[in-house]
Amino acid sequence: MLRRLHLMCVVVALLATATAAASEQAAHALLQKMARAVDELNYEGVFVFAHDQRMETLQIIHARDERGSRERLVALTGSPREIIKDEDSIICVRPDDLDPALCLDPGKSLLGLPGVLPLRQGLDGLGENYRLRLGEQQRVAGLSCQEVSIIPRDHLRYGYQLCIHEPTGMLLQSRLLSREGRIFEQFMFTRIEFPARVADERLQPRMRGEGVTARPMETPSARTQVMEPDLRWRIGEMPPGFQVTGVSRRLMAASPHPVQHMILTDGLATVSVFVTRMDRPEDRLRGLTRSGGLHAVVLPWGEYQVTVLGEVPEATVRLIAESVFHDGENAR
Amino acid sequence: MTTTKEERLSALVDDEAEAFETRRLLDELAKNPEDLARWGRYHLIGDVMRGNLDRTAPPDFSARIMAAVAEEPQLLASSSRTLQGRLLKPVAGMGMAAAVAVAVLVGLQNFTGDPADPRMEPAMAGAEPVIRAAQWDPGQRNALQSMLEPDARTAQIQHSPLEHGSQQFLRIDMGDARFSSYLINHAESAVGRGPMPPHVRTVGHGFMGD
Repeated sequence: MLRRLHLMCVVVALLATATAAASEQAAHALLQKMARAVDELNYEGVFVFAHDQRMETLQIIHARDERGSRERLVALTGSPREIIKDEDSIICVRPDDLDPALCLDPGKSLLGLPGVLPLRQGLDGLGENYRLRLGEQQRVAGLSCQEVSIIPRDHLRYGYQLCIHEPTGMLLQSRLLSREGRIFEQFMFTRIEFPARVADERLQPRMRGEGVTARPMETPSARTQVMEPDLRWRIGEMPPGFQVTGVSRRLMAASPHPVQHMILTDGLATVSVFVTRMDRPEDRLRGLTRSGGLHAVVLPWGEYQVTVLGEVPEATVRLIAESVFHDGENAR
Repeated sequence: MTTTKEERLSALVDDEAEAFETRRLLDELAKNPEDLARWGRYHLIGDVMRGNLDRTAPPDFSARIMAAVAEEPQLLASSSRTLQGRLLKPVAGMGMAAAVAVAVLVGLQNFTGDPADPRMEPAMAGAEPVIRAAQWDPGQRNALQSMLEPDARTAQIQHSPLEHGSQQFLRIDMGDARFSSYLINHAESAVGRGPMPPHVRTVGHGFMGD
Protein backbone atom coordinates (compact mmCIF):
# COMPACT_ATOMS: atom_id res chain seq x y z
CA MET A 1 0.00 0.00 0.00
CA LEU A 2 2.85 2.37 0.83
CA ARG A 3 4.49 1.71 -2.51
CA ARG A 4 1.21 2.60 -4.19
CA LEU A 5 1.05 5.73 -2.12
CA HIS A 6 4.57 6.74 -3.09
CA LEU A 7 3.89 6.17 -6.78
CA MET A 8 0.72 8.18 -6.48
CA CYS A 9 2.68 11.01 -4.84
CA VAL A 10 5.14 11.10 -7.73
CA VAL A 11 2.42 11.17 -10.40
CA VAL A 12 0.45 13.77 -8.52
CA ALA A 13 3.56 15.91 -8.04
CA LEU A 14 4.37 15.83 -11.77
CA LEU A 15 0.85 16.83 -12.71
CA ALA A 16 0.90 19.53 -10.08
CA THR A 17 4.12 21.02 -11.46
CA ALA A 18 2.58 21.51 -14.92
CA THR A 19 -0.64 23.06 -13.70
CA ALA A 20 1.23 25.13 -11.10
CA ALA A 21 3.19 27.00 -13.78
CA ALA A 22 -0.01 28.07 -15.54
CA SER A 23 -1.60 28.98 -12.22
CA GLU A 24 1.47 31.03 -11.28
CA GLN A 25 1.28 33.12 -14.46
CA ALA A 26 -2.43 33.82 -14.14
CA ALA A 27 -2.03 34.73 -10.48
CA HIS A 28 0.85 37.06 -11.32
CA ALA A 29 -1.24 38.92 -13.92
CA LEU A 30 -4.16 39.27 -11.54
CA LEU A 31 -1.92 40.61 -8.78
CA GLN A 32 -0.53 43.28 -11.07
CA LYS A 33 -4.05 44.31 -12.00
CA MET A 34 -4.95 44.48 -8.32
CA ALA A 35 -1.93 46.61 -7.43
CA ARG A 36 -3.11 49.23 -9.92
CA ALA A 37 -6.80 48.92 -9.13
CA VAL A 38 -6.64 49.71 -5.39
CA ASP A 39 -4.93 52.99 -6.22
CA GLU A 40 -6.53 53.96 -9.53
CA LEU A 41 -10.18 53.03 -9.01
CA ASN A 42 -12.88 55.08 -7.38
CA TYR A 43 -14.57 53.06 -4.68
CA GLU A 44 -16.74 53.41 -1.63
CA GLY A 45 -17.37 50.57 0.71
CA VAL A 46 -17.50 49.09 4.17
CA PHE A 47 -15.08 46.47 5.39
CA VAL A 48 -14.40 44.45 8.49
CA PHE A 49 -10.82 44.35 9.72
CA ALA A 50 -9.65 41.84 12.30
CA HIS A 51 -6.23 41.52 13.84
CA ASP A 52 -5.11 39.89 17.03
CA GLN A 53 -8.28 39.65 19.10
CA ARG A 54 -9.83 42.84 17.82
CA MET A 55 -12.32 43.51 15.08
CA GLU A 56 -13.48 46.81 13.65
CA THR A 57 -15.75 47.96 10.88
CA LEU A 58 -14.56 50.80 8.69
CA GLN A 59 -15.90 52.80 5.82
CA ILE A 60 -13.54 53.68 3.01
CA ILE A 61 -13.96 56.28 0.28
CA HIS A 62 -11.21 56.30 -2.30
CA ALA A 63 -11.01 58.73 -5.21
CA ARG A 64 -8.51 59.00 -7.98
CA ASP A 65 -8.72 62.00 -10.29
CA GLU A 66 -6.64 64.89 -11.62
CA ARG A 67 -5.79 65.78 -8.02
CA GLY A 68 -4.24 62.38 -7.43
CA SER A 69 -5.32 59.77 -4.89
CA ARG A 70 -7.48 60.86 -1.99
CA GLU A 71 -8.94 58.71 0.69
CA ARG A 72 -11.19 58.98 3.70
CA LEU A 73 -11.46 56.30 6.35
CA VAL A 74 -14.19 56.36 8.95
CA ALA A 75 -14.27 54.07 11.97
CA LEU A 76 -17.81 52.74 12.35
CA THR A 77 -17.02 50.94 15.59
CA GLY A 78 -15.30 52.11 18.77
CA SER A 79 -14.44 55.77 19.32
CA PRO A 80 -15.53 58.01 16.44
CA ARG A 81 -12.54 59.08 14.34
CA GLU A 82 -11.70 59.66 10.73
CA ILE A 83 -8.56 59.81 8.70
CA ILE A 84 -8.35 61.95 5.57
CA LYS A 85 -5.41 61.30 3.32
CA ASP A 86 -4.36 63.05 0.15
CA GLU A 87 -1.14 63.42 -1.80
CA ASP A 88 0.34 65.80 0.75
CA SER A 89 -1.03 65.02 4.15
CA ILE A 90 -2.66 62.66 6.58
CA ILE A 91 -5.15 64.28 8.93
CA CYS A 92 -6.87 62.63 11.83
CA VAL A 93 -10.21 64.01 12.97
CA ARG A 94 -11.45 63.14 16.44
CA PRO A 95 -13.49 64.54 19.30
CA ASP A 96 -11.49 66.74 21.70
CA ASP A 97 -12.17 64.48 24.62
CA LEU A 98 -10.81 61.47 22.86
CA ASP A 99 -7.37 60.24 23.85
CA PRO A 100 -4.99 62.21 21.56
CA ALA A 101 -2.88 59.10 21.25
CA LEU A 102 -5.66 57.59 19.19
CA CYS A 103 -4.66 59.77 16.30
CA LEU A 104 -0.95 59.95 16.95
CA ASP A 105 -0.41 56.30 17.57
CA PRO A 106 -0.11 54.48 14.29
CA GLY A 107 -0.74 51.34 16.26
CA LYS A 108 -4.23 52.72 16.17
CA SER A 109 -4.16 54.40 12.83
CA LEU A 110 -4.85 53.00 9.44
CA LEU A 111 -3.11 54.23 6.37
CA GLY A 112 -5.23 52.95 3.55
CA LEU A 113 -6.69 49.59 2.92
CA PRO A 114 -5.29 46.84 5.10
CA GLY A 115 -4.17 43.70 3.39
CA VAL A 116 -3.19 45.52 0.25
CA LEU A 117 0.12 44.20 -0.86
CA PRO A 118 3.34 46.15 -0.92
CA LEU A 119 3.65 45.25 -4.56
CA ARG A 120 6.55 46.81 -6.32
CA GLN A 121 6.55 47.58 -10.01
CA GLY A 122 6.69 44.34 -11.95
CA LEU A 123 6.69 42.20 -8.82
CA ASP A 124 10.47 41.83 -9.10
CA GLY A 125 11.93 39.03 -7.07
CA LEU A 126 8.56 37.85 -5.86
CA GLY A 127 8.92 34.45 -7.49
CA GLU A 128 12.20 33.71 -5.72
CA ASN A 129 10.66 34.00 -2.31
CA TYR A 130 7.00 33.14 -2.84
CA ARG A 131 4.87 30.76 -4.85
CA LEU A 132 1.70 32.10 -6.46
CA ARG A 133 -1.41 29.99 -6.88
CA LEU A 134 -4.90 30.59 -8.16
CA GLY A 135 -7.52 29.18 -5.85
CA GLU A 136 -11.25 28.81 -6.14
CA GLN A 137 -13.95 31.30 -7.03
CA GLN A 138 -15.46 32.87 -3.93
CA ARG A 139 -18.16 35.42 -3.28
CA VAL A 140 -17.50 38.51 -1.17
CA ALA A 141 -19.73 41.59 -0.74
CA GLY A 142 -22.11 40.21 -3.34
CA LEU A 143 -19.37 39.99 -5.98
CA SER A 144 -17.64 36.92 -7.26
CA CYS A 145 -13.89 36.94 -6.77
CA GLN A 146 -10.88 34.83 -7.59
CA GLU A 147 -8.80 33.48 -4.76
CA VAL A 148 -5.03 34.01 -5.09
CA SER A 149 -2.49 32.57 -2.68
CA ILE A 150 0.98 34.01 -2.19
CA ILE A 151 2.80 31.26 -0.37
CA PRO A 152 6.13 32.02 1.33
CA ARG A 153 8.95 29.65 0.40
CA ASP A 154 10.47 29.80 3.88
CA HIS A 155 9.69 30.93 7.41
CA LEU A 156 11.29 34.34 7.09
CA ARG A 157 8.20 35.91 5.56
CA TYR A 158 4.43 35.73 5.63
CA GLY A 159 2.03 34.92 2.86
CA TYR A 160 -1.32 36.22 1.73
CA GLN A 161 -4.60 34.74 0.68
CA LEU A 162 -6.50 37.24 -1.41
CA CYS A 163 -9.79 37.34 -3.18
CA ILE A 164 -9.80 39.65 -6.19
CA HIS A 165 -12.78 40.88 -8.20
CA GLU A 166 -11.58 40.01 -11.69
CA PRO A 167 -13.48 42.61 -13.79
CA THR A 168 -12.04 45.54 -11.79
CA GLY A 169 -9.01 44.00 -10.08
CA MET A 170 -10.31 45.24 -6.74
CA LEU A 171 -9.17 43.41 -3.64
CA LEU A 172 -12.25 42.26 -1.71
CA GLN A 173 -10.72 40.04 0.94
CA SER A 174 -7.27 39.47 2.33
CA ARG A 175 -5.59 37.32 4.95
CA LEU A 176 -2.04 37.69 6.18
CA LEU A 177 -0.81 34.32 7.34
CA SER A 178 2.27 32.34 8.21
CA ARG A 179 3.58 29.47 6.17
CA GLU A 180 1.82 27.15 8.57
CA GLY A 181 -1.52 28.80 7.91
CA ARG A 182 -1.76 30.84 11.09
CA ILE A 183 -3.84 33.95 10.35
CA PHE A 184 -2.51 37.26 11.73
CA GLU A 185 -4.77 39.79 10.05
CA GLN A 186 -7.74 39.66 7.79
CA PHE A 187 -10.07 42.08 6.17
CA MET A 188 -13.17 41.68 4.06
CA PHE A 189 -15.50 44.08 2.30
CA THR A 190 -19.15 43.65 3.22
CA ARG A 191 -20.30 46.24 0.69
CA ILE A 192 -18.53 48.01 -2.17
CA GLU A 193 -19.46 50.31 -5.05
CA PHE A 194 -17.43 51.79 -7.88
CA PRO A 195 -18.79 55.29 -8.59
CA ALA A 196 -17.65 57.03 -11.80
CA ARG A 197 -16.82 60.12 -9.77
CA VAL A 198 -16.53 60.76 -6.04
CA ALA A 199 -18.03 64.06 -4.90
CA ASP A 200 -15.62 66.27 -2.93
CA GLU A 201 -17.96 66.34 0.04
CA ARG A 202 -17.58 62.60 0.40
CA LEU A 203 -13.91 63.22 1.17
CA GLN A 204 -14.63 65.87 3.82
CA PRO A 205 -14.75 64.87 7.47
CA ARG A 206 -18.25 64.43 8.79
CA MET A 207 -17.18 65.35 12.30
CA ARG A 208 -16.92 69.13 12.41
CA GLY A 209 -17.43 72.11 14.61
CA GLU A 210 -16.82 72.57 18.29
CA GLY A 211 -15.31 69.80 20.27
CA VAL A 212 -13.63 68.31 17.26
CA THR A 213 -9.91 68.41 16.55
CA ALA A 214 -8.26 67.85 13.22
CA ARG A 215 -4.57 67.25 13.59
CA PRO A 216 -2.01 66.40 10.97
CA MET A 217 -0.11 63.21 11.53
CA GLU A 218 3.51 62.79 10.47
CA THR A 219 3.51 64.13 6.93
CA PRO A 220 5.85 63.60 4.02
CA SER A 221 7.04 67.18 4.48
CA ALA A 222 10.04 65.25 5.75
CA ARG A 223 10.97 65.28 2.09
CA THR A 224 12.32 68.77 2.53
CA GLN A 225 14.61 67.75 5.37
CA VAL A 226 16.49 65.02 3.59
CA MET A 227 20.20 64.74 4.34
CA GLU A 228 23.08 62.75 2.98
CA PRO A 229 22.80 59.20 4.38
CA ASP A 230 25.69 57.65 6.30
CA LEU A 231 26.47 54.69 4.08
CA ARG A 232 28.69 53.09 6.69
CA TRP A 233 25.65 51.80 8.51
CA ARG A 234 25.46 48.23 7.23
CA ILE A 235 23.42 45.11 7.66
CA GLY A 236 25.89 42.30 8.30
CA GLU A 237 23.66 39.32 7.82
CA MET A 238 20.85 39.90 5.39
CA PRO A 239 18.07 37.31 5.59
CA PRO A 240 17.96 35.28 2.36
CA GLY A 241 15.91 36.94 -0.37
CA PHE A 242 16.04 40.45 1.08
CA GLN A 243 17.94 43.41 -0.30
CA VAL A 244 18.28 47.10 0.52
CA THR A 245 16.19 49.14 -1.90
CA GLY A 246 16.48 52.57 -0.36
CA VAL A 247 18.50 54.57 2.17
CA SER A 248 17.73 58.06 3.43
CA ARG A 249 18.60 60.30 6.37
CA ARG A 250 16.19 62.94 7.54
CA LEU A 251 14.56 64.61 10.50
CA MET A 252 11.47 62.91 11.82
CA ALA A 253 8.93 63.89 14.40
CA ALA A 254 9.84 63.14 17.99
CA SER A 255 13.54 62.69 17.30
CA PRO A 256 16.06 65.50 17.93
CA HIS A 257 18.73 63.84 15.78
CA PRO A 258 18.41 62.86 12.12
CA VAL A 259 17.23 59.34 11.50
CA GLN A 260 18.83 57.02 8.99
CA HIS A 261 16.14 54.94 7.30
CA MET A 262 17.05 51.82 5.33
CA ILE A 263 14.39 49.91 3.43
CA LEU A 264 14.70 46.20 2.74
CA THR A 265 12.36 44.18 0.55
CA ASP A 266 12.07 40.66 -0.74
CA GLY A 267 9.79 41.69 -3.58
CA LEU A 268 6.74 41.71 -1.33
CA ALA A 269 7.48 42.23 2.35
CA THR A 270 9.04 45.56 3.38
CA VAL A 271 11.26 45.95 6.44
CA SER A 272 12.41 49.34 7.72
CA VAL A 273 15.61 49.88 9.68
CA PHE A 274 15.86 53.17 11.60
CA VAL A 275 19.10 54.30 13.23
CA THR A 276 19.39 57.43 15.32
CA ARG A 277 21.66 58.83 18.02
CA MET A 278 20.25 58.60 21.51
CA ASP A 279 21.96 60.97 23.93
CA ARG A 280 20.84 59.50 27.23
CA PRO A 281 21.91 55.89 27.87
CA GLU A 282 18.61 55.20 29.64
CA ASP A 283 16.80 55.99 26.39
CA ARG A 284 18.62 53.28 24.49
CA LEU A 285 16.31 50.34 24.71
CA ARG A 286 16.21 46.65 23.96
CA GLY A 287 12.71 45.52 23.16
CA LEU A 288 10.27 43.89 20.84
CA THR A 289 6.61 44.13 20.05
CA ARG A 290 3.99 42.75 17.72
CA SER A 291 0.76 44.05 16.25
CA GLY A 292 -1.02 41.68 13.91
CA GLY A 293 1.69 40.47 11.60
CA LEU A 294 3.95 43.47 12.27
CA HIS A 295 7.00 42.79 14.41
CA ALA A 296 9.41 45.38 15.74
CA VAL A 297 12.72 45.07 17.55
CA VAL A 298 14.78 47.86 19.13
CA LEU A 299 18.44 47.38 20.10
CA PRO A 300 21.21 49.76 21.15
CA TRP A 301 24.39 50.09 19.06
CA GLY A 302 26.94 52.23 20.82
CA GLU A 303 25.30 55.61 21.34
CA TYR A 304 22.71 54.78 18.73
CA GLN A 305 19.33 53.13 18.77
CA VAL A 306 18.49 50.63 16.05
CA THR A 307 14.80 50.01 15.34
CA VAL A 308 13.68 47.37 12.87
CA LEU A 309 10.06 46.81 11.92
CA GLY A 310 8.07 45.14 9.22
CA GLU A 311 5.30 42.70 8.46
CA VAL A 312 7.59 39.71 8.68
CA PRO A 313 8.07 37.06 11.39
CA GLU A 314 9.85 38.03 14.57
CA ALA A 315 12.88 35.91 13.64
CA THR A 316 13.39 38.04 10.53
CA VAL A 317 13.33 41.43 12.27
CA ARG A 318 15.58 40.08 15.03
CA LEU A 319 18.07 38.70 12.55
CA ILE A 320 18.27 42.08 10.84
CA ALA A 321 18.39 44.13 14.05
CA GLU A 322 21.19 42.04 15.51
CA SER A 323 23.35 42.41 12.43
CA VAL A 324 23.13 46.19 11.96
CA PHE A 325 26.53 47.78 12.56
CA HIS A 326 28.53 50.91 11.73
CA ASP A 327 31.55 50.25 9.57
CA GLY A 328 33.79 53.05 10.86
CA GLU A 329 35.37 54.60 13.91
CA ASN A 330 32.71 57.13 14.72
CA ALA A 331 29.16 57.14 13.56
CA ARG A 332 27.79 60.51 12.64
CA MET B 1 6.24 16.32 30.40
CA THR B 2 8.17 19.08 32.09
CA THR B 3 7.27 22.72 32.23
CA THR B 4 10.13 23.46 29.90
CA LYS B 5 8.64 21.15 27.32
CA GLU B 6 5.32 22.96 27.57
CA GLU B 7 7.02 26.27 27.03
CA ARG B 8 8.86 24.93 24.04
CA LEU B 9 5.65 23.55 22.56
CA SER B 10 3.94 26.84 23.18
CA ALA B 11 6.75 28.64 21.38
CA LEU B 12 6.30 26.28 18.46
CA VAL B 13 2.58 27.01 18.29
CA ASP B 14 3.30 30.73 18.49
CA ASP B 15 5.75 30.51 15.63
CA GLU B 16 8.50 31.61 17.99
CA ALA B 17 10.70 28.53 17.98
CA GLU B 18 14.04 28.65 16.21
CA ALA B 19 14.52 26.53 13.10
CA PHE B 20 16.61 23.86 14.81
CA GLU B 21 14.34 23.77 17.80
CA THR B 22 11.33 23.49 15.52
CA ARG B 23 12.76 20.49 13.75
CA ARG B 24 13.65 18.78 17.00
CA LEU B 25 10.23 19.47 18.51
CA LEU B 26 8.48 18.13 15.45
CA ASP B 27 10.55 14.95 15.65
CA GLU B 28 9.56 14.62 19.28
CA LEU B 29 5.94 15.36 18.48
CA ALA B 30 5.84 12.56 16.00
CA LYS B 31 7.15 10.12 18.59
CA ASN B 32 5.03 11.23 21.50
CA PRO B 33 1.24 11.15 21.04
CA GLU B 34 0.73 13.00 24.32
CA ASP B 35 2.81 15.93 23.16
CA LEU B 36 1.05 15.89 19.82
CA ALA B 37 -2.32 16.12 21.54
CA ARG B 38 -1.06 19.00 23.65
CA TRP B 39 0.30 20.76 20.58
CA GLY B 40 -3.11 20.42 18.95
CA ARG B 41 -4.83 21.82 22.02
CA TYR B 42 -2.46 24.81 22.13
CA HIS B 43 -3.42 25.57 18.56
CA LEU B 44 -7.08 25.39 19.42
CA ILE B 45 -6.60 27.61 22.47
CA GLY B 46 -4.72 30.10 20.33
CA ASP B 47 -7.48 30.09 17.76
CA VAL B 48 -10.19 30.59 20.33
CA MET B 49 -8.23 33.54 21.70
CA ARG B 50 -7.78 35.00 18.26
CA GLY B 51 -11.38 34.35 17.32
CA ASN B 52 -10.40 32.09 14.45
CA LEU B 53 -12.78 29.36 15.40
CA ASP B 54 -14.44 29.38 12.02
CA ARG B 55 -11.31 27.54 10.97
CA THR B 56 -12.08 24.60 13.20
CA ALA B 57 -12.57 21.23 11.61
CA PRO B 58 -16.15 20.30 10.81
CA PRO B 59 -17.76 18.03 13.42
CA ASP B 60 -17.68 15.01 11.16
CA PHE B 61 -14.04 15.47 10.23
CA SER B 62 -12.67 12.64 12.30
CA ALA B 63 -15.49 10.38 11.13
CA ARG B 64 -14.49 11.09 7.55
CA ILE B 65 -10.85 10.38 8.31
CA MET B 66 -11.85 7.12 9.94
CA ALA B 67 -13.91 6.18 6.90
CA ALA B 68 -10.94 6.93 4.67
CA VAL B 69 -8.67 4.86 6.89
CA ALA B 70 -11.19 2.00 6.87
CA GLU B 71 -10.99 1.88 3.09
CA GLU B 72 -7.36 0.88 3.42
CA PRO B 73 -7.36 -2.49 5.16
CA GLN B 74 -3.59 -2.81 4.95
CA LEU B 75 -3.18 0.49 6.66
CA LEU B 76 -5.19 -0.66 9.63
CA ALA B 77 -3.33 -3.94 9.70
CA SER B 78 0.11 -2.38 9.90
CA SER B 79 1.28 -1.42 13.31
CA SER B 80 1.17 2.31 13.84
CA ARG B 81 4.77 2.25 15.01
CA THR B 82 6.02 0.87 11.69
CA LEU B 83 3.83 3.26 9.77
CA GLN B 84 5.14 6.21 11.71
CA GLY B 85 8.71 5.10 11.20
CA ARG B 86 8.32 4.86 7.46
CA LEU B 87 6.24 7.93 6.88
CA LEU B 88 8.42 10.10 9.02
CA LYS B 89 11.66 9.03 7.46
CA PRO B 90 11.73 11.69 4.74
CA VAL B 91 10.77 14.42 7.18
CA ALA B 92 14.29 14.96 8.42
CA GLY B 93 15.33 16.70 5.23
CA MET B 94 12.10 18.56 4.64
CA GLY B 95 10.77 21.92 5.59
CA MET B 96 8.47 22.61 8.44
CA ALA B 97 5.24 22.59 6.46
CA ALA B 98 5.95 19.08 5.34
CA ALA B 99 6.89 18.01 8.82
CA VAL B 100 3.74 19.47 10.30
CA ALA B 101 1.54 17.86 7.70
CA VAL B 102 3.10 14.45 8.16
CA ALA B 103 3.27 14.60 11.94
CA VAL B 104 -0.35 15.59 12.15
CA LEU B 105 -1.49 12.94 9.71
CA VAL B 106 0.27 10.29 11.70
CA GLY B 107 -1.14 11.69 14.88
CA LEU B 108 -4.64 11.67 13.51
CA GLN B 109 -4.41 8.04 12.66
CA ASN B 110 -3.27 7.30 16.16
CA PHE B 111 -6.00 9.26 17.82
CA THR B 112 -8.90 8.33 15.64
CA GLY B 113 -7.96 4.69 15.45
CA ASP B 114 -9.45 3.96 18.83
CA PRO B 115 -12.58 5.87 19.87
CA ALA B 116 -12.01 4.76 23.44
CA ASP B 117 -8.70 6.59 23.52
CA PRO B 118 -9.07 9.17 26.29
CA ARG B 119 -6.86 11.55 24.31
CA MET B 120 -9.55 11.76 21.65
CA GLU B 121 -11.34 14.55 23.41
CA PRO B 122 -13.59 17.03 21.62
CA ALA B 123 -11.06 19.78 22.16
CA MET B 124 -8.42 17.72 20.41
CA ALA B 125 -7.60 19.97 17.54
CA GLY B 126 -5.16 17.61 15.89
CA ALA B 127 -7.53 17.58 12.94
CA GLU B 128 -7.56 21.31 12.72
CA PRO B 129 -3.95 22.01 11.74
CA VAL B 130 -4.36 19.53 8.89
CA ILE B 131 -7.03 21.70 7.41
CA ARG B 132 -5.00 24.76 8.01
CA ALA B 133 -1.78 23.25 6.73
CA ALA B 134 -3.57 22.30 3.53
CA GLN B 135 -5.48 25.51 3.46
CA TRP B 136 -2.90 27.33 1.39
CA ASP B 137 -3.95 25.29 -1.58
CA PRO B 138 -7.29 23.56 -1.61
CA GLY B 139 -7.10 19.86 -2.24
CA GLN B 140 -4.66 17.11 -1.49
CA ARG B 141 -2.78 17.68 -4.75
CA ASN B 142 -1.33 20.96 -3.59
CA ALA B 143 -0.87 19.85 -0.03
CA LEU B 144 1.38 17.12 -1.33
CA GLN B 145 3.23 19.58 -3.45
CA SER B 146 3.98 21.83 -0.53
CA MET B 147 5.24 18.75 1.30
CA LEU B 148 7.77 18.22 -1.45
CA GLU B 149 9.21 21.68 -1.29
CA PRO B 150 11.90 21.95 1.36
CA ASP B 151 12.66 25.10 3.27
CA ALA B 152 16.42 24.83 3.27
CA ARG B 153 17.04 28.54 3.78
CA THR B 154 15.47 28.92 7.18
CA ALA B 155 17.55 26.05 8.51
CA GLN B 156 20.70 28.10 7.89
CA ILE B 157 19.62 30.91 10.17
CA GLN B 158 21.71 31.07 13.30
CA HIS B 159 20.36 31.15 16.79
CA SER B 160 19.69 34.54 18.19
CA PRO B 161 21.48 35.46 21.41
CA LEU B 162 18.43 37.35 22.62
CA GLU B 163 16.05 35.62 24.95
CA HIS B 164 12.38 36.43 25.33
CA GLY B 165 12.41 36.03 29.05
CA SER B 166 15.47 38.20 29.47
CA GLN B 167 14.87 41.09 31.79
CA GLN B 168 16.71 43.51 29.58
CA PHE B 169 14.40 42.75 26.69
CA LEU B 170 11.30 44.86 27.18
CA ARG B 171 8.15 45.21 25.21
CA ILE B 172 8.14 48.35 23.09
CA ASP B 173 5.48 50.84 24.00
CA MET B 174 3.35 51.18 20.87
CA GLY B 175 2.21 54.59 22.08
CA ASP B 176 5.77 55.91 22.16
CA ALA B 177 5.89 58.99 19.93
CA ARG B 178 9.20 58.09 18.35
CA PHE B 179 8.02 54.60 17.55
CA SER B 180 4.82 56.04 16.10
CA SER B 181 6.85 58.28 13.87
CA TYR B 182 8.89 55.31 12.66
CA LEU B 183 5.77 53.31 11.92
CA ILE B 184 4.26 56.07 9.81
CA ASN B 185 7.53 56.58 7.98
CA HIS B 186 7.77 52.85 7.37
CA ALA B 187 4.25 52.71 6.00
CA GLU B 188 4.57 55.91 3.99
CA SER B 189 7.90 55.10 2.41
CA ALA B 190 6.49 51.77 1.36
CA VAL B 191 3.57 53.57 -0.24
CA GLY B 192 6.09 55.62 -2.14
CA ARG B 193 5.31 58.94 -0.47
CA GLY B 194 8.65 59.28 1.20
CA PRO B 195 11.97 59.89 -0.51
CA MET B 196 12.13 56.19 -1.36
CA PRO B 197 11.51 54.46 -4.67
CA PRO B 198 7.75 54.36 -5.09
CA HIS B 199 5.82 51.17 -4.81
CA VAL B 200 2.20 50.65 -3.99
CA ARG B 201 1.76 50.06 -0.32
CA THR B 202 -0.83 50.60 2.29
CA VAL B 203 -0.68 49.29 5.78
CA GLY B 204 -3.20 48.42 8.41
CA HIS B 205 -2.29 48.46 12.02
CA GLY B 206 -5.40 49.12 13.83
CA PHE B 207 -7.16 52.41 13.73
CA MET B 208 -8.48 50.62 16.73
CA GLY B 209 -10.44 52.26 19.46
CA ASP B 210 -9.68 49.62 22.09
